[in-house]
Amino acid sequence: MSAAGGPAVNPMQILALGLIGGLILLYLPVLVPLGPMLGPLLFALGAVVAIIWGADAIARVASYGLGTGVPSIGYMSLAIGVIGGIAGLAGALMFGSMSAWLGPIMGVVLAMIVGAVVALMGTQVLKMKIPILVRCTIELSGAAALSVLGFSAAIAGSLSMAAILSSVVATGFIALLFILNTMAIQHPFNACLGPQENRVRTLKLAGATAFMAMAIVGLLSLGISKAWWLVAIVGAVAWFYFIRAFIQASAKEAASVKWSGWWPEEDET
Amino acid sequence: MADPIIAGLGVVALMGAAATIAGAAEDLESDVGSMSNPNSQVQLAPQMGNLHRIFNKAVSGEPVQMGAWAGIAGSVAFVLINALQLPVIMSIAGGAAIAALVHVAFATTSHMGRIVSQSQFNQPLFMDVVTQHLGPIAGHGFIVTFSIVGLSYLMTLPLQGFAHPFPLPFLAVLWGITIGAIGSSTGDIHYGGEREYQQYPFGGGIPVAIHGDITRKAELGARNSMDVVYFCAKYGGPVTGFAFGAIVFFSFWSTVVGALAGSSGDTPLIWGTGILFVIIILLIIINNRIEVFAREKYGPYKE
Repeated sequence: MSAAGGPAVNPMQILALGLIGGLILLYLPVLVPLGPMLGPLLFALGAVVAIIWGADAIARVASYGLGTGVPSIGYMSLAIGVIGGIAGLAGALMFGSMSAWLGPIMGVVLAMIVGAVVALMGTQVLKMKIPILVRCTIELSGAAALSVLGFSAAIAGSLSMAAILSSVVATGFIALLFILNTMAIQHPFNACLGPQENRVRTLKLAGATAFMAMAIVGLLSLGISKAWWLVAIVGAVAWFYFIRAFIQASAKEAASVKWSGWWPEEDET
Repeated sequence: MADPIIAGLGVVALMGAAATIAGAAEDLESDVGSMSNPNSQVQLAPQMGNLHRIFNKAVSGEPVQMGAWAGIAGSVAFVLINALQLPVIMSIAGGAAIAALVHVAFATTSHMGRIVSQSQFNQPLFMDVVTQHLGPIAGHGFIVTFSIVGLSYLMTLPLQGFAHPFPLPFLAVLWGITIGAIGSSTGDIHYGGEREYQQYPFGGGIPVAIHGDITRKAELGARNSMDVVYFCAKYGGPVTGFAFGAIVFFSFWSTVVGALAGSSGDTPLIWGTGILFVIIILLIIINNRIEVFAREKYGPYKE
């Protein structure tokens, strides 16, 4: 149980998994020629680890009683992430076509800078008294940018601005990625908030929502990427694994599990 | 080829019909799951010692939820239409089916997560509540996403007054957010204020003292969320559908009729905006008259 004591999951490990793991998964297909099948799969997995990182960051900041603000901070971070990610891809081209590889890193850094500005507005101008708001908003913005970049690259088949522009932005999928990644990042904690929230169970749900988003991204790349079925099937199988783990954990931690009947009598008033 | 204005009016009528159905289904879907405003009271009830058998579907606000489902349905339909060249109706149904599957997964996990995370209040996790309510949730959600993607597709048809430049997934997300907002603002009162606090007189507001003391027993046995839908389907759902249908119908009708003044350039748009402005002024006056009439006829709520 994580509610009263410290978190059951080390936030630094999740941060490392999301940020470093995400960037490695995004850059590996760029640096090593893995072919048209493995590349999109790794891009999508990079987005998945970023979503899990984002879900943990949102759980940490929202534990300060955000309540109905959980979805809101999710949308805010994805808005920052989409702007930062696309601006990073485009901005890297300013230094010439040879530096296009800078795109993802620039996207994540830009998103984190915008996130820092937004969070400082919250703490300094609006006087919100949430101690870890700045750090968590920066983390969330970075996670959001990585998740959008990863899924965009999984659909387009490459991280190049031209490919993403024609197959993700022009087709309107970017609007879906915005709202789908928002759901994937904010839903785990929003669904599990309460005094007995258990971070391990929350992160199991984060795995489920992230892989579900990956399965949908696989479907969207039908007709664009050869690896669409691989991304969709890996996403669906991993989703099944995580949602099974989540449902088992829920059944174990519930006050009681019943298939019929009334609530316990002693609470009748 | 028919007169473009007559053809346009036909499309507008179809869009209005789809929007009305979507609005009604959206409100009822949120009632099955106790979403949005009523959700906070369902969430609070066990902490006040009021255990219940009501579905706690804390996915997010309705606008974003519906934006996501409609976006998934619209994007998958877009792929099926363009990449596989499937017929439009079949593609939209396929997209809505995928969205319904995602919807069910999110609904289940939110109910389980919220109930289990407050286990100290002894609220049991009723599995039959989960399984019985998933059907209506998925069904109503399917109707909403099908209708929303349908009307978004109609907007992109190459007809005068339509031919929207945005791609289908983009329009589906925008209209999904809109239907969620309308369903939340118009429909919630009929569940939250009325059905959820049925043992208290209607119209008295919900003072803090009775927060969490929701109606938990039905005519026979424990109340579940299906009982709520039967109630809301009589008025809350249809009136939400009417509101959304009127919004969609009038906003497109005005630009189509605006083409009577001349179909070149921005002329239909300028005339349409003018017509819409007059309609809005009229609606404000009608709303005010109805409210004044209702207050005078039925009087304020008395202690």
